[in-house]
Amino acid sequence: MEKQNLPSIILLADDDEDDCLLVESAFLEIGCHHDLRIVGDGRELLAYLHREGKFADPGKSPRPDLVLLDLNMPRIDGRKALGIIKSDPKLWDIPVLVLTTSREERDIALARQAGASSFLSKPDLFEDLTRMLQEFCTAILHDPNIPFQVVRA
Amino acid sequence: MERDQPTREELVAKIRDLEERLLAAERKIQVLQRSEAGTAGPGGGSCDLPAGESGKAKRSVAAERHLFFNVLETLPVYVCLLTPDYHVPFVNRVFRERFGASTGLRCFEHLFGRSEPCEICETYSVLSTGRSRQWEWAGPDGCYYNVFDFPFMDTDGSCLILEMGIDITERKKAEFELRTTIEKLEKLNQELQDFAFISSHDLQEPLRKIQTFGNMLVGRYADSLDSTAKDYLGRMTRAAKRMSELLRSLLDYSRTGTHELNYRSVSLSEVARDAVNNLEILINAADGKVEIEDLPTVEADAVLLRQLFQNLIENSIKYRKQTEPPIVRVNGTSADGVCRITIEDNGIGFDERYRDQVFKPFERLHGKSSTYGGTGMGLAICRKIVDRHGGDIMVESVAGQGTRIVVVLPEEQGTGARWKNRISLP
Repeated sequence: MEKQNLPSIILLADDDEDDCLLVESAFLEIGCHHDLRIVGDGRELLAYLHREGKFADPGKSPRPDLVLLDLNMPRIDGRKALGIIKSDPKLWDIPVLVLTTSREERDIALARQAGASSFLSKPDLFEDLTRMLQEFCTAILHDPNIPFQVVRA
Repeated sequence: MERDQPTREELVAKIRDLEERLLAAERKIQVLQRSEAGTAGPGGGSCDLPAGESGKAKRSVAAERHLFFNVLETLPVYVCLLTPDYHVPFVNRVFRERFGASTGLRCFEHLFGRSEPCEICETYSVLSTGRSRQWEWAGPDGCYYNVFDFPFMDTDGSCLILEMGIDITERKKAEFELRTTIEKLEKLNQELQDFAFISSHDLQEPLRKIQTFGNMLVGRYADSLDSTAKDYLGRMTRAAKRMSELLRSLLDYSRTGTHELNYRSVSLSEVARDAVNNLEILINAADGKVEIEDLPTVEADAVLLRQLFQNLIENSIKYRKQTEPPIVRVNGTSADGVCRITIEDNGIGFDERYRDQVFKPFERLHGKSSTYGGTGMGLAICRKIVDRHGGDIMVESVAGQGTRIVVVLPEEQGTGARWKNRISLP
């Protein structure tokens, strides 16, 4: 890993404040090698990645090493955002980990087809969330081409 | 009119008979007219009536004619004759009552007030094909008719069309009502399924948070809580977990109903083995054994059938006796297009009086907190799967002596309404 000494930048797109808090707490638990940024929906996620508006400064809004993507979000939802990211020549190589309440087969198929790294269902237990994030984030940051996995708690 | 409606065949036979009688009568009249005028008919007058019989014959012809028209007038169907140039030389009583007398007008003028023949005319196709036909017509009087058209030879050899129409408005109305009722029911059913799906899906979300944060409280702040607070918290998180399980099984149940069926040839041995593989951990933990014999191949949805076997075998392992390891035997036969599968175990069984109850959603025979607790959805899902395949499921059990489940499935999934050829067990 090149950036061994710098924290990895992880961008979370989720409109649910409780889930943002939980993911934040999980990363606190995991350790300090992650710099978590949060955006509230697909539109904000794309604005961040395209460096638009308040995200124009690359110093303040650096390119993420990994995107954690919720699927059900207002305005532009995660499904659409995933498609846009993966078909953009400047963005497609950013790994995207789907983290959602959905357990639907069609969402899993869509995520797999669009090029998401894996599909994680939000677990009921905080310990499971922490373990899941630690495992997958570490694996993807180490090798962005991990085989697609589905985790349904 | 609907009640004593004659069949098509009866009406056709009647009309043919009348046609013949009318022709015979017409011939007689012609002969009489010729003999009266002192002219010999064609064929050298060989069919001339003997002198003196003329008056009698005339009366008999008049009587035949009278009878013929009376019958046509009395028939509870409309009858008319049409000429190739769209004139209507004859109509009966029902026709007049429904559409008015055709006072020399052509059919399109009289019926539709048009100045040109209709672009599409079912009736006149008879002239080009020379064959009778039947079709349904929405008449200008707002009624529906089952219409029969026959090519008809006039006495002078010219071509006519004989048309007869039976009022089928009541039947049409009933059909329409039935159709709208079915559509309504299907819509309601769909809404109900959607509702179950959406509600169970959306309720999961806040519930998951109750569990997560409750769990964090227990894990992180246990030291600052007294034992009563911890007890309450424990009860709360257990209840939340239970509700989550219930919602998840409700979601599974609803998915079984909405799952898009994909019929193909399915080896039941294969899906049963897949099910066992999925249950490997549970089976091993119970030191259990599942024996699968050669099972038939049926046309079915593989995903649902795997679920069926999984639920049934899981039940057999779950409801095992604590004193002996569970043994499950799966076997099947096939005869007369019906496949019959039995799943037998040596488990705890249950009282036969609950045999119908166990297939209902959320129905359980054991307390929530007992070893045998569950959401009560497993067999309800099985029933739904079997229903969707047009089959049946039945259970035989003796408390303390094991359970035997019998599933029957059609070998092939026929087209058309499945409920018609449902297989059912006694």
